[in-house]
Amino acid sequence: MYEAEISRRNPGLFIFLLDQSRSMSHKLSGGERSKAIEATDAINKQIAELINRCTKSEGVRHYFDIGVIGYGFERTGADGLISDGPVPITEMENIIKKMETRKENVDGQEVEFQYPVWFEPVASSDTPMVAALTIAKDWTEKWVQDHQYSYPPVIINISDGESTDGSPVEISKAITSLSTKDGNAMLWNCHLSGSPAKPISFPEDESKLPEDKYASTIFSISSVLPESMLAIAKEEYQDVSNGARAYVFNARLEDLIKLLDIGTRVAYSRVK
Amino acid sequence: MKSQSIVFPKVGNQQEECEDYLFASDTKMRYAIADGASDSIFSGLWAKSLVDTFIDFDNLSGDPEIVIDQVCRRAINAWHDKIEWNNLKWNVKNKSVLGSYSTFIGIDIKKIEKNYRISCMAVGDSCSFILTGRRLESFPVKDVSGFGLHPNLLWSGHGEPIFEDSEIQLPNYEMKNYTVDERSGIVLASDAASKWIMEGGVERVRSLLEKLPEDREYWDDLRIKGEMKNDDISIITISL
Repeated sequence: MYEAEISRRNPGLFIFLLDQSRSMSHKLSGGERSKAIEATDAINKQIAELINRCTKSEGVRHYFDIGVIGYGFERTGADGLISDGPVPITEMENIIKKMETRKENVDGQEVEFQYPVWFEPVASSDTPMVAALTIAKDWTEKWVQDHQYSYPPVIINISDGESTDGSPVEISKAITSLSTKDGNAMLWNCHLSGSPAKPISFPEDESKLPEDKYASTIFSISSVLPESMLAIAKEEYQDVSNGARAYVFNARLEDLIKLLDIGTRVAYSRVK
Repeated sequence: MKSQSIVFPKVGNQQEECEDYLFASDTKMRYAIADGASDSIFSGLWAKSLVDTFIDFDNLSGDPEIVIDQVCRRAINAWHDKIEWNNLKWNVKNKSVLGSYSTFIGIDIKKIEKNYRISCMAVGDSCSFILTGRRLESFPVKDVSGFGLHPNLLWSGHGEPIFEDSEIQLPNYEMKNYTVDERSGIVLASDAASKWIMEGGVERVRSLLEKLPEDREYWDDLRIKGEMKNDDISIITISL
């Protein structure tokens, strides 16, 4: 399981769920930036990285479908931020909002990169997480019907945890019960809290969770890492054990990126 | 001296998407294969730059460090000059400034009286096989466990031209010389094909030297059945 080759014939699927509610305007504990900025920056960077990995000299190859769902903001509900369903990654370059030039140090040499921005930070209204997960379930359900030989879908939810439209538990179970022949869909959670509790990555049981009233629920809906992802998580973090779940608490941008990278790197290693 | 060669992309890819490159020159008695890394961009171009530079290099018999340094410098500039840097889309440029990577195997053959002197130069896990009678020697990988996920690679640099005084990082290369007689045969191959050849041993090398199958279907079938990894493949056989 979780071994299917990702190819243009059998692409993978990533769905990002972005909490855009009012509470995301608060600063991340111990940080200088709001949770909304951290979350949008992480998604912009990760989609750019996915495009980077699919880029060949002739252009971008269709190795992945991408969906982004925003919840909160002006909708008081949830909706696709780029379309009404997942789109081939090849289409993402046509909907870039703006480009930023950044210099980065690569092997001791300063190299200039162009960074695309698809999503700007917004924070307003409630947190209809169940509505967002319901859309994710509908998209995933339809997608797996057409992609039974593909690597299982990965759904990544970035939120401060406070669902205002009910419990996310049942709809999350419905998502992770969907499957391809290679395994069940996975639900990853990046829990951005204002609580001063220290960051936690990939806990295997509830005893390791911080004192936060939403942590237990979000942890419980997070998928157990399959073996291939567990191996990478263990490389990146010292105290990851068997049974670890795809859950990160109070991750800063670099940890969010790392989390998303672990979720996407394993999938990318299957690209042929 | 007579050579045969084939180069095919992964099953499911188009021929122009192949990132292996080879050249066999019976007149110069030089043969080379480079296997561009699929993780990097313009890898096929980098593979071609390396092979063409090696084939055309004036004198390969000098100090190995200097030869490698000069081959790399010329190949880097050849690769750089073939890319239209000002017309690249943002994502292609972002990736291309990280450079291209490739493995390499090249041999230079010289006739010395009744024998042949074969000089091999390799970076990574593209291999040469020399068969004399029933004696088969592989270089640089000695057994199938040597075909790992992280072979040594030649790097094109960050997409900048190299000048005489520019510093470059030399790759981890290996060199070996053989003296063989005219009964010997040589096979060069990129990694997936090399592993398959090594698994088949003497009989497989002998069979390839007799007749290298040229139908793509034959090679696709091996990869579909899982007998060979689904990767680009390139093979050169040389009968002395």
